[in-house]
Amino acid sequence: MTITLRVRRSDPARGERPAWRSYRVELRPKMSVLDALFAILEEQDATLAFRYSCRAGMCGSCAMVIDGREGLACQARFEGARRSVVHVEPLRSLPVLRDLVVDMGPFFARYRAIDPFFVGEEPSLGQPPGDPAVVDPDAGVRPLVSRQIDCIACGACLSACPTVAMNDAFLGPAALNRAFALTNDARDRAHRLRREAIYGEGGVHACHSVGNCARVCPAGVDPLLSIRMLRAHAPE
Amino acid sequence: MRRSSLASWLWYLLRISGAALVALALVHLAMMHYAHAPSATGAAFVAARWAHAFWRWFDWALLVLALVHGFGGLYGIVSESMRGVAARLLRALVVAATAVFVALGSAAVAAGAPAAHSGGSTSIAGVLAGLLIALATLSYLAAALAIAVLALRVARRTPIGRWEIPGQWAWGLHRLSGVAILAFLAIHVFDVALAPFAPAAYDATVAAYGIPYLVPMELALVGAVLYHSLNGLRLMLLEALPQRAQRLEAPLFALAIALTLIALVPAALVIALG
Repeated sequence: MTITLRVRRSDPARGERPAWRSYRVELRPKMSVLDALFAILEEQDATLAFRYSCRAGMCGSCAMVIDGREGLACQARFEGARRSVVHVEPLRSLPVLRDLVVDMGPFFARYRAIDPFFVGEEPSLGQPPGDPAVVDPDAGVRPLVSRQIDCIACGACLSACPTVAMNDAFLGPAALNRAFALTNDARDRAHRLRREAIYGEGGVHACHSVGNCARVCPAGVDPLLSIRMLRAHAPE
Repeated sequence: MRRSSLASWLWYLLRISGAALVALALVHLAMMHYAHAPSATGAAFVAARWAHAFWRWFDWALLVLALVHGFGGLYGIVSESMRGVAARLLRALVVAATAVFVALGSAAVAAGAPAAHSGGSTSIAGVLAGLLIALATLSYLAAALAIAVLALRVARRTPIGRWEIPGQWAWGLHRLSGVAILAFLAIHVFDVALAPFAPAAYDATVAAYGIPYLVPMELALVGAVLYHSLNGLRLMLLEALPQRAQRLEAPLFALAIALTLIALVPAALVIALG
C-alpha cells in the first residue's frame, strides 16, 4: 500500500518560491511522517531538507505542519489516516531556511524576552547559601505547573497562533507559558523582572484566547491556560 | 503591579464594555428584530419609545458602549497588525471617528422624540439606503469569495491553513462579526440621528430595510450580534472558570454556533411575515 506525501518545498536562498511536490511512499507498519520523509530522502530526492533529532517526541526538532495542523513528524503515524494524501509544510510565522527547515531565531528571541531561566536567591558574602525552598509534592500549584513545564520548545504553538502571525510584538504561547511556570516557583526571585514583559504590549493581554496553541501542543501543554492564570493573578 | 500597557487597557475596556453590551444588545435585538420587523420601526415607533426617559438612557448607553467596544476593537486590530506612520494615522482616525459618532448619536438621543409633523429631506435617506446596499453587496461578495476559496481548497484536497483548527473559526467569526457590526453601526447612527430632526427621511431609510436584497444582510447582522455576544460570553466564562473547565472550550463554541442558528429562525420568520 502506498501513500502520497505532498511536501511544501522552497529554497529562499536561491529564490525558489514555495510549491507543493508529490512523492509516493510505500507504507510500512507503524510508519511515521518522519520515516516517510527519510524514505523520500534515501530513495527519491536527496535534496529534501528537514530537521530531526531524538525521534521519540522529546526534542521537538521535527515540528512541522501536517495536514494543516502542527505536530511532530516522528509522532504522526499513517495508521488510521483518513486521507490517502498527506500534506506536510514547514512551521508558520517563522522564516523558512529550506523546505521543512525553519529559522527558530524569532521563537527563541521571544522566549528570551521573559528571562526563561530560574533565578535563585543571591548568596551573600560570608554566609553560605541556605537550603533551597522546597515545593511540597502536595502543594496546590504542583499539578498545574507539572504539566506546563513539559514544554519541549518545538514552536508548534507559535506556528498555530494567529495573533503571532499578525502581531510581531506578541511574545507568543510558549514564552508566556514558561513565564507562568516560573512565577509559580516559590524559589524564583525574578518575578518582578518578568512582570514588565508579561503585562507589556506583547504580553498576556495581547492574546486573543484563540486556543490553537493548546490544540496542537504535542506535549499536552495548555499555554492558553497559563496565559489566563497570569491574567487573573499577577506574580508578587 | 504594572498593568499600564495599551494592550492591557484595551483588554479590560473590551471585556467591561462587552459584558454590559451582551445584556443591552440582546434586549435591543429582541425589540427590533423579534418583537417587530426592522422595517416597522419608523419615526413614530422611536417617538413612542423615547417618550420614556428610561429608553432614552438605555439607547444612549447602548450607543456609547457599542461605539467604544467596536472602535476599541478596531483600534486593537490596527495596533497589532500595523506599524509606523500609517498605524498612527489610522489610530488617530479611529479615535476621531469614535468621538464624532458618539457626539452625533448623543445629540439625536438628547433631542428626543421627533416632532409629529416635521419633514426632512428624503435624499439623505436615499444616500443611507445606498450605503446599506453597498454594505450588503460587500458582505455578499466577501461571503462568496470565502466559500469559493474554501471549496477550491477542499476540491484540491489542500489544507485550509489554521482553519483546520476549531479555535481559529471561533476567533475568525468573532472578528468578522465585530467588523461587520461596526460597519452597520456607523450607518445606523446616521439614520437614528435623522429620527428627531427629519422623521420623514428616517421613515424612508427604515423602509429600505424591507428591500428583499437587504434581507440576507439583515439576517446575517442578527446572526453576527448573537454570535459575537455568545462567543464573548464564552470567552469571559472560560477566563473565570477553573482549570478543569477549560476542556469546555470547544463544546461552548459549538453551543454558541447552535444557539445562533436556532435564534435566527424566529428572526427570519418575523422579517418574512413583517
